[in-house]
Amino acid sequence: MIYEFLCSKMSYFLDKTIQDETQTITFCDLLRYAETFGEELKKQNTDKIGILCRSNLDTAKALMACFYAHKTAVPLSYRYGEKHNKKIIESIGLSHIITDSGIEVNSNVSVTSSDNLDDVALIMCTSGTTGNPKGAMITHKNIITNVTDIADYFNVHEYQKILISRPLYHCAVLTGEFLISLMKGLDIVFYDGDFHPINILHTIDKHNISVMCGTPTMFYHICALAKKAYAKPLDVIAVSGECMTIETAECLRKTFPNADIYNVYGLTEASPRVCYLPQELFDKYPLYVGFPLRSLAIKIDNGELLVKGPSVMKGYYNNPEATNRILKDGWLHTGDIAEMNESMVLRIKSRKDNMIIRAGMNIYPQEIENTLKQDPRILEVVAYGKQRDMVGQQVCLKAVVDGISKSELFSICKQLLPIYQLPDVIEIVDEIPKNASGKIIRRTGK
Amino acid sequence: MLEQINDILMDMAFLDDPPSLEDKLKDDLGIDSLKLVELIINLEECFDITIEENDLNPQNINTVGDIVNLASRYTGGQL
Repeated sequence: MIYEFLCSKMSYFLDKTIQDETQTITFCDLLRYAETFGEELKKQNTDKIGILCRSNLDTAKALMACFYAHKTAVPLSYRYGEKHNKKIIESIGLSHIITDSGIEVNSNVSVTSSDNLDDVALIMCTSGTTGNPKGAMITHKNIITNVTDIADYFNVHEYQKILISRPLYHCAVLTGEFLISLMKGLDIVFYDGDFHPINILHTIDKHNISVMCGTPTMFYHICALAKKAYAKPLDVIAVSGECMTIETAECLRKTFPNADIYNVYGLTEASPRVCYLPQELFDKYPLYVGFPLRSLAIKIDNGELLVKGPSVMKGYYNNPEATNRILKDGWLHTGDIAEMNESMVLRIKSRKDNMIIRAGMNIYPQEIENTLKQDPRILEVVAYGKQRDMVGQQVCLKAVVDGISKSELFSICKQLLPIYQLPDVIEIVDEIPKNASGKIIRRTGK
Repeated sequence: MLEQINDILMDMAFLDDPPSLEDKLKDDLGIDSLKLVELIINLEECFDITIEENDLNPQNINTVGDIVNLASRYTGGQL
């Protein structure tokens, strides 16, 4: 089980620290807390527990306590808004939530499911086309396999310090940054503020950070503002969450000329890491994501990347239809279009569906459209992604409206949508093109 | 130059009229941290300036007025 696994690894590094703006604890403190609070969690009459804490450090403590107590943890995050959390709480049926005030119990919330959670360590929520999140059941074996495979290629050491600047709600952060750091004995610094490259740069300097992971968009913006890059102590960088662009790769290499840079790929449903590009190949193949982790098999079927192995999720919680759509004969259908070059190095080209990736956040157009259509002044609306000049995608909106301006439409967006879904481009039109069967033609600007 | 800053903000925030100096970048204009970086880059390109890292403390850049003050420090106050 994951707690025993982590305990055995952390026992070599008990004096390593985890800190944020308000507190510093050691690995030993974390394990003690996990066991003390974990005994409280064992008494709770539920098999799954939500975690909603303001700081990543408190989230980490709650996670470890859940692992100790063999309760399935369901991370939530304040960053994505109350509505988003409410959807998760209702669809997963979270009667117990660990918050900054302790354990909150709401007996009115419950979901009947035939899914057995005995072997499930985490339910990680991920976006869906309908706007309702899907809960990927990640087992203890999934995580242990994935973090062990990451340790195989990710050349970080106990004398290094990692900055974790994104919420543990994201599987890539939880497994690929936090758990790997516990396993390898890195000192950990959590940054809990909004993503501001300037704050990130100041934190890197202040704590002498040597390891950092993030999206291409994050690093592009950090590089754009880092005027004295030579002073930055980053030795190891891992980039994931979006397709790399040449501009970002060049910017990264120019800003951090001596750093080991890994371009990696994964998805929540694979716990999450699937592929990695060895750092020595970054300058040769910067747009590629390399090779599968040692426990995984991959294949390309009609252009789509499929993945199989012991770190592929058990399924979606209480959603057999969605599970059967994505898991077929043990193969996980990623929805990503991929290709390999003559040296068998993998590259992700695009999405099979309409999902937009804005600064590493997955956004389904239908979710934006369904939300905006709640306002009667919006008669028809289509959302789509368009490649930015330098990195990532923009969220674009085309709408038929009833007597409102672009400014008023954006105000409606600000009221109804979480900030990361706000459109970058808005177009008000007289009509939205449809195909012969009346379905909206969704333009994608690639 | 104030007009140029207003043009940039009106474009980014889909405004019909110029913002007021008290308008908050995030809460009123919907400029999140991602768009804030783009705003800084737009200002640097527009006025051919390079804003020092030390001046880019997000705690000091919350309103339209903060942006105007920041730009004016680098353009010699010629707004």
